[in-house]
Amino acid sequence: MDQGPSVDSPWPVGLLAAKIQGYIDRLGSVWVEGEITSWGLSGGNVYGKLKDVTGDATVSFTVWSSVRARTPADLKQGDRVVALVKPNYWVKGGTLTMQVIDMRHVGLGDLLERLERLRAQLGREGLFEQSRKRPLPFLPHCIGLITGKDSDAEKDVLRNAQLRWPAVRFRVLHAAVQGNRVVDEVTAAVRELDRDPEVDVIVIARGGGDFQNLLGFSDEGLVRAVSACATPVVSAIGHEADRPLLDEVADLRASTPTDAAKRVVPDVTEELARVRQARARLGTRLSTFLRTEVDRIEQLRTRPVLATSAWIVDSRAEELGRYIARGAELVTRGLDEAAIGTKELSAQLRALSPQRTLDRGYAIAQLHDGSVLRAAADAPRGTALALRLASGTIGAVSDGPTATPR
Amino acid sequence: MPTPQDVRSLSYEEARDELVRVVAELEQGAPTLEHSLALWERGEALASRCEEWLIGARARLEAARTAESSAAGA
Repeated sequence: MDQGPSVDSPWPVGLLAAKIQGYIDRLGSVWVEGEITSWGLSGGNVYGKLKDVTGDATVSFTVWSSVRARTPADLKQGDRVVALVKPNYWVKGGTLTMQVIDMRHVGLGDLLERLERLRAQLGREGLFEQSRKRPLPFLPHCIGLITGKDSDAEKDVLRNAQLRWPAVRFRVLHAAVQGNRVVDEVTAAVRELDRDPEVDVIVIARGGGDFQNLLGFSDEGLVRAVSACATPVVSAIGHEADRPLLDEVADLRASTPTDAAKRVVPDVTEELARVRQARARLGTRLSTFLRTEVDRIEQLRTRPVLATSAWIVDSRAEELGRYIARGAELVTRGLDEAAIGTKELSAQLRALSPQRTLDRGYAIAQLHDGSVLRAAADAPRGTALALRLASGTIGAVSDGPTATPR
Repeated sequence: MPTPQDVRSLSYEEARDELVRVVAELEQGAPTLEHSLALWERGEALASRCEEWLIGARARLEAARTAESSAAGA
């Protein structure tokens, strides 16, 4: 092993090149995935560049015509591929290029399948749990919007939000919404807006695009970043049918940027109208209630029993009057009967009374006790007697018994 | 005729319901003059108490409305 090169005994370039080639050859061939960023044809061979799907690394590659025959004919710039490459250091030119042994499209199927696997895995981790979804603020102070610069999505969101609530405030961060810059830029924007205390909802909006363009929005890193956000995130990616993983992890999935604006910003004029309407209904509801109650009381008040108090006394007075009248009537009748009664009695009395005998000249002698003198013996000499004549009575003194009168 | 103290403490519904009972009893004819008079007085007191409640409520409603319209106007 000769001494390492030094300034005194430097390697010839050839040796350096050989050494590099040696190192590189040791890597052997590897399967790599990347995006074709340039695809040049010359002399049946293909010279192109392959770029890392999400990162910044790019390598150039050559496909010899022999290999090209075995690879899909429709490979072109922008395709995403997996390739079996062998790094080759071209000593003469001092350039490194990837010798393509096999190259295939990364089929939509593979992408989809990989996406589903990631979806399942993140699902198992519970990133998509409904319980993690945070509610959106009813009236956001400031809406963080991540979208492409001057994109339709941006216009849609801004315009619709302002239509619904002129005083809405936005903080817009522009980010690549296509190609391999998407993940890094959107993730950075999400983190920044999440840190900003002013922003209380974040909207990530992008117009429609084919599956590949939207793939960035299913990137695991981005999904995890969004999941870690404290601020509620609204995903508005592509059209109704598109369902990147971002939709699953976001706190709200809007079908389109316009829909996102509508869901995040209440239609203030409509809300005000609703409040006014509710208040009006409140007012009428109460006044109708009051009116019915007033009517009821009025109705009770006009009931005769309450309307005047006179009736209490009047009805009794009337009753009294009736009783009195009745009383008087009874009394008079009683008296009449009595009068008749007495007349009869006096007639009887008179019939029984000695008056008629007295009239005929007889007189009744009564002793002082009122008893009638029947026997002369009862009135010895000097006995005071009362003689009842036809009319009037005289006092007399008895001379005692005598012979029978002449 | 001053509203007896207890009537003042009645809620609107209580006063109204008792008023209905008093009227019914009066209409059936209370047994004694004394009782009728007492009932009638009670009825009057209850009726005016109800009206107090209603007038009060209406006043508050008007006040709220004027406040609301002045707020809307301001």
